[in-house]
Amino acid sequence: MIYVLNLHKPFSKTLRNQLQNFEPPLSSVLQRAMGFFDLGIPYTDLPPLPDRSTRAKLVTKALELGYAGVAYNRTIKGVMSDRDRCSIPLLTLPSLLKLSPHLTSSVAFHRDLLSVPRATPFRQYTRLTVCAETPAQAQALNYGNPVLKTYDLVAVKPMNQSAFEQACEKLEVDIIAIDFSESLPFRLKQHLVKAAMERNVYFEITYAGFIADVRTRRQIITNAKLLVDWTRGRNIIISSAAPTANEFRGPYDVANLMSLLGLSVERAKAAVSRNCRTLISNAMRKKHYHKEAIRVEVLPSGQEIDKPWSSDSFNWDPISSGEGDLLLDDLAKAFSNSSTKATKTVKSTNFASVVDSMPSLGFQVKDDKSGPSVGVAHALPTQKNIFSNLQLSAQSIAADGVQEQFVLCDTLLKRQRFKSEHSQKWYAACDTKAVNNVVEIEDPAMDTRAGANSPDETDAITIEILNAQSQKSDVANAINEVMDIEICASTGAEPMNSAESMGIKTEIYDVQLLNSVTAETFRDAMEIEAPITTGAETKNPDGIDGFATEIQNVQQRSMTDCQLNVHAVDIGLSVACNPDSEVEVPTNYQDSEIPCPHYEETDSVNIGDTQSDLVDAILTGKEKEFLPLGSVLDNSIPEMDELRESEDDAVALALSSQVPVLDSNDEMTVNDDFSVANHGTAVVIRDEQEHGKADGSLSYSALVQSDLGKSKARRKKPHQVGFLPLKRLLYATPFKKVQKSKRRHKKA
Amino acid sequence: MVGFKNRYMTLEVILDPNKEIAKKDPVIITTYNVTKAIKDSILVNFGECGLASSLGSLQVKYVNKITRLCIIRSSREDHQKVWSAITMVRSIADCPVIFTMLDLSGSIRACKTAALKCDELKFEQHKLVVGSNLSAQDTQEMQSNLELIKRLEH
Repeated sequence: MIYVLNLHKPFSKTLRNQLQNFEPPLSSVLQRAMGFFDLGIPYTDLPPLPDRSTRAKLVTKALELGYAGVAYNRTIKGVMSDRDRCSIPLLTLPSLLKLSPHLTSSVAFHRDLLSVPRATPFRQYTRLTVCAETPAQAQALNYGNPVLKTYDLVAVKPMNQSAFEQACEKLEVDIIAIDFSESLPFRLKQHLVKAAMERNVYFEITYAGFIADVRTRRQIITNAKLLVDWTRGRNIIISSAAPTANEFRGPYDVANLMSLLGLSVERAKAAVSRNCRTLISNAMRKKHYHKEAIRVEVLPSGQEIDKPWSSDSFNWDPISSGEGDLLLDDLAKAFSNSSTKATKTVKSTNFASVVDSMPSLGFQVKDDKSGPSVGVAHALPTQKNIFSNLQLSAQSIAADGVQEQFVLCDTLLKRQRFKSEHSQKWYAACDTKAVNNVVEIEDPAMDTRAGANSPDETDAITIEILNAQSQKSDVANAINEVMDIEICASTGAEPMNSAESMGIKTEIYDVQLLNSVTAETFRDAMEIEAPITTGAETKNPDGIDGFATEIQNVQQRSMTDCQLNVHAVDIGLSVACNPDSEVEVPTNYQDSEIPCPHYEETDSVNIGDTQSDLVDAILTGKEKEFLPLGSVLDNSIPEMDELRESEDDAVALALSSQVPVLDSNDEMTVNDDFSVANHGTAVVIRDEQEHGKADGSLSYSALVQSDLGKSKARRKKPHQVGFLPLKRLLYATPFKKVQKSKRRHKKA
Repeated sequence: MVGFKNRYMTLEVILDPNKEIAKKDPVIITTYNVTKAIKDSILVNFGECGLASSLGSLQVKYVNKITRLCIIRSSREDHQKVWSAITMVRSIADCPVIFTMLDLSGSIRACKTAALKCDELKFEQHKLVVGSNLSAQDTQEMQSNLELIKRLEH
C-alpha cells in the first residue's frame, strides 16, 4: 500500500484561534467568491420513501437557488450507539436531474446573479445533532468518539442549563444548535456565549420557523435577539430546518430576514456564506487529519507510481465532501472526466491503522523507484486535461473563495493556450502534475531539461513555471501582476519586472537529490546559489534584495537528478518587505496543489499563501517565479518571518507565489517546503483562513530535503511527527533570521 | 437634490416548489395577486403602522406571468422591511410560492436593464421547459412585456 502523507502543521491553539477568528474587512469581491451553504437540511431515517423525495426536492431547490453546499442533519436523542453511524445516503446528480430536468439552466442563471462561479461543485455534507440532556450524554461528544467521526459536522442541542454550559465550554462540537421556536429551557449567559465564541463554536439559527408560522416567528425573534446581541453577529450560521421545499429561501433573502433579528447585513451575509465555509473547512480538517496534522491517503494499488499526483494533489479541495460533490455536467463541460474525478477520489484512511504499518524509519515518502506515497494517482493528464485541471482547480479555487486565483488562472489558461506546442510537451515531459494556477509553460528550452526529470520524482509536484526568457515578455503582458523571476542559465538571472515587484515571490528551486539532501547541503546549495544569482533580484525596485532569485542558480547546477525544488522561502523573506505589504496569498498553488506528502504548516502567518513547489523537472532549468497578483501583491516577508517561525518541521522554502490577498488580510497559507533527508515529505503549509479565503493551502511535497524552512524562526514547536529523523537538521538555521516585520495580517 | 429615494426590486416567483415537474401552473400571477399577498404579509408582520408607512411608495410595477418575474418599488427606508415581508409570503391564492430576489437597484434605469436581462434568460428557460408547446401567443406576450419594461418609469 502506498500512502500519501499530507502533513499539516497544526497551529498552536491561540494562534489558531486567532486565525480562525480572524475576520477580514468585508469586501465585495471576497464575498462574492464565497459560496452559500445551508447546513441544516433535516434528515430522518423514518419512512424513507417520502423522505427521500422531499429531501431531493429540497436539495434541488437549494441548488437552483444558488447554494453551493448543504448538510443533511440527523438528530438523535439519548445515548449514542453504534447504530447511529452515518448512513445518510448522498444524493446524486441524476436523481436531482430527474426531478428537475432543466436544473442546469436555472442553476446557471441564479449562480450568475449571485456571482458564484458556475462550475462550483455542489457539496453535500452529513451532520449529526445530539440532544444533550444529561452530563453523561454530553460527555460522549468528545473527539475520540468513533460514531461522531463518521459524520462531517457535529452539533449539540443542549436541553438544559448544565448541558448548555458544557457545550459552550468544553464539548468538542462544531455547532451549538438551539431551537428558538419554543421557549428556551435555559438561559443564555453572556460569559458562556463568549467562551463558546472563543473556542470557535458556532451558534445556529434556523429560519424555517420564521416563515412557517406566526407564533414561532414571535418566539424566534424574542429568543434569538439576545444571542445576536451578545455574539455581536459573529460566530453565527444560519440554516433552514426546512421540512419541505416551501420554507426554503434564497441566500440573500435569508440574510435580509436576519436583519429583523438585529443582525447587520454584513454579518448576515457572512453567516450564510463565510462562516459556514470556515466551519466546514475546520471540520474537514479535524476529520481528515490526524491530530490536525497528517492526512493519509491510500493509493489504490496498481496505480503506476509514475503518474503525477496531478490533479488530485493539485486540486486538493479543503472543503470537499468526497463523494458528495456534485459537479454539474453541463456546466462542467470544459472539464474532462479525469479532472472531475480528481476531486472525488481521495479517501483518507484512518491514521491510526496506518501508523502501525509504516516503516520505522518514517515515511519514505519518496523512493527512487517506488513511487511516492501519492494519493490517488491519476494518469498523466493529457493536454486537455491539464488545461481542464487547471480550469478545475481554478474553478474550485475560485469557488473556494479566492477570486484572484481564478482570474489568474484564467489569464494563465489563456496564456497557455497561446503557448506553443512546447509548453505542452513540457507538460508531458515533465510529468507535470496538475498545473496550478501559476504554472507557466516553459519554453522549448526547458523541455529538454524537463525531460531530465526523473520519473521517480514523484513527490514534488508543482511545477514551476518557468521559462522566463521567451516568455518574459509574454508574461509581462499577459499577466501584469505576475512577477517572473527568471533564471536563465545562460544569461543569468534576469531582472525582475519592476512593474511586478509588488509582491514577493520567492521561488527557489533547488533541485537536489532526494536522498542526499540534508539541511546542510541544502544550505550549501543555497549559498552557492546566491553568488550565482545575478543581479536580477537586486533589480527589484522594491528593494528586495536578497530575493534571491536564487532561482537562477539552479540552472547552473545541472541537476539531473532533480527533483526537488526548494523554494527558498527564506530568501524571499529576507528581502525587505514593504511594511505596508499586505498579506498575500500566493496564487500559485492554492488548493489545487497538493504534493504528496504534505507537510502543512498552519501556523501562520496569515499572510498569504505561499507555496513552494517542488520541482521535479522544472528546475533543471529555469525557475520562474510566477506570482499572480490579484490585487495586491504583498511582500511575503512578513509571512516569511512567520514561516520561519513555523514549525520546526516545516521547511519552508520558497513561497512561491503569493496570491495577493484581497484587501482583507486574510490569512494566508504558507507553504513551506519541507525537506527531510530521505523523505520526500511534502510540506504543506496550510493556513486556512476561516473565511475560506485561504483555501489555498498549498501543500507541496517537498522532495527537497533542504530545510530552508528551518532557518525560519520557530515560533512554536508543534508536535513533531515521529518519523522525521532529521528533525534536528530541520532546526538548523542557515540564514540569519531577519525578523522584519510583524505579521501583517490585519485583524479586522 | 432628490430627497426621496426608492428601491426597485426584481423578484422571481417560484410557484409551488413542491410540485411534481411539468404540471400546469396552479395560479396565474397578476399585479393584483402579488400586491395583495405582499400587503397581507406586511400587515401581519409589521402591523397597521408598518403597512401604512410602507404603502406610500409600495407599488408593483411589472409582473410577467410567463416568466414569473416582477418588479416592485418601495421607499429606501422601508425596503428592507418590505423585502423581509415579501420573503415571508407563503402563498398566493392557495398556491405555495417562494419569492426570490434577483436584483436590487436604486434607479429605475438600472432596474430596467437588469429586469430585461433576467426576463430574457427566464424566457429561454421557459422555452426549454415547455419544449415544443411554445405558443405564438406566448412569444407575442413576451414581446409586449419586454416593451412594458422598457417603458417603465418611476
